[in-house]
Amino acid sequence: MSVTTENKDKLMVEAIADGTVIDHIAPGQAINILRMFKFLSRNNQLTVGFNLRSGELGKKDIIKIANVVFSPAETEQLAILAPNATINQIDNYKVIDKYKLRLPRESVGVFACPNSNCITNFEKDATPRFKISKEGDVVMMRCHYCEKVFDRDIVLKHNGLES
Amino acid sequence: MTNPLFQKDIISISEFTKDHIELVLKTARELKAHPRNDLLKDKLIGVTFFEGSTRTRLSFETAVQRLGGRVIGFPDATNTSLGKKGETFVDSMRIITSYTDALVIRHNREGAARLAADISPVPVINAGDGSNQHPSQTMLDLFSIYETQGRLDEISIAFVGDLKYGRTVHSLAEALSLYNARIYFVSPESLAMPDYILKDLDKHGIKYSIHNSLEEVMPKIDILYMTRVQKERFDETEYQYLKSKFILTPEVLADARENMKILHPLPRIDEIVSSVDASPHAYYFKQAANGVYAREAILALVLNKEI
Repeated sequence: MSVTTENKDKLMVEAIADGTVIDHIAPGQAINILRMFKFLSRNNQLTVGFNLRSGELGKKDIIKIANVVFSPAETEQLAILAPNATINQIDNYKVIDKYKLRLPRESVGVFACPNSNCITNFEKDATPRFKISKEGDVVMMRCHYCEKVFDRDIVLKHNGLES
Repeated sequence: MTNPLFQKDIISISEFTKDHIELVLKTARELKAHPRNDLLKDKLIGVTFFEGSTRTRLSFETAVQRLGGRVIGFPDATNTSLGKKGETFVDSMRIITSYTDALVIRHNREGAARLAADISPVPVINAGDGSNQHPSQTMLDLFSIYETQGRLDEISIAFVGDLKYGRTVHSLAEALSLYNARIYFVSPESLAMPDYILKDLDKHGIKYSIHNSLEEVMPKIDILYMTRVQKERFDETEYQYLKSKFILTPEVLADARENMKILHPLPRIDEIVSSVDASPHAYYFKQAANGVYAREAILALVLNKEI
């Protein structure tokens, strides 16, 4: 079974036997996903497509990584970067599970707070937490502690990810 | 029936519903009219100020003692294990909240009160966390507005001075957005109300406008909320310029409505000249005295199922 939607894309990216395909990633976010999950420092077979044609978004990124299955917690992290992506779990060249990501309501312990005077940047015992919401198309993150509200891209940038 | 604030943390005005606000104000009014010295009997309250604030600390301590409770704590962190031995904040909070029935905390970092509340087995009351929240100040402001106007609904209010950094104006504007207020912002451009607050007011359908002078809003308002431009935020020349922009004198009050009252979170420096103090419009010292009743109400509600 094919895991991509267009034949031309299929030619560009090699199929994987076992692992995960993250499809319909908003263009530009695949690089953040690679960084966040440190995929480049693993030895897994990895195929990444940037700015591929896509009916839904116009353009999309795609990641195929062998021998990786996302835990529910990792799926939530992934959804903050790529809220409209689709996960295809592959087993022996077959899609055994396919689901759309949903933006989580909260992010715990993943991103540091961009507010330089937030207590989480001074107390090692404080785990940074954000409530996540959408204002139109913009993902907003509200720090549980300092209560400041940030555009997701500001949080990503502060955490060394591109936006 | 158990009151809805019993054993609750009081961290942020954004968690208050109209019912909560009205319960605190009603309790404050009752405690002002009929003092009680039994509501904190046998209770020990930690009053921990990691950042100095004389008025807030003394009014919390007064509130505890008037209600019959006792206080432990410190007025600043320099002589604590935290300041001297490098103990973590979380460890300090864990220990102090194991001694006490409730904790009042002031800290210079945003989110410190929430962090304390997350690990505390007893209720935590935020007495100011950096530029974030200071809910008991908002309660005493609302109490003073109600006391002088007989209502909270549809108040016309001008916020004047440092609207950018002043957390009291942010929280009060947020609370008044529940009551369909008409808000006038008067400040130098560099100290204007932040966009995220204006967006929030838009969301609530609150009417507001931005002005350059006190005179143009004076005849339209019920409450004039003055604030201090904080010297430490600016270099000397800029400070001198900014603080000279909006100074309240008796002449500026000429067109004020009869019911108009002036509030100020204090300390005032020279944004209100002392000759205004004798005006019937001046209410800021009574407002500061109301701080004790607002804090008594919060403490009493948090520590008593029923009053």
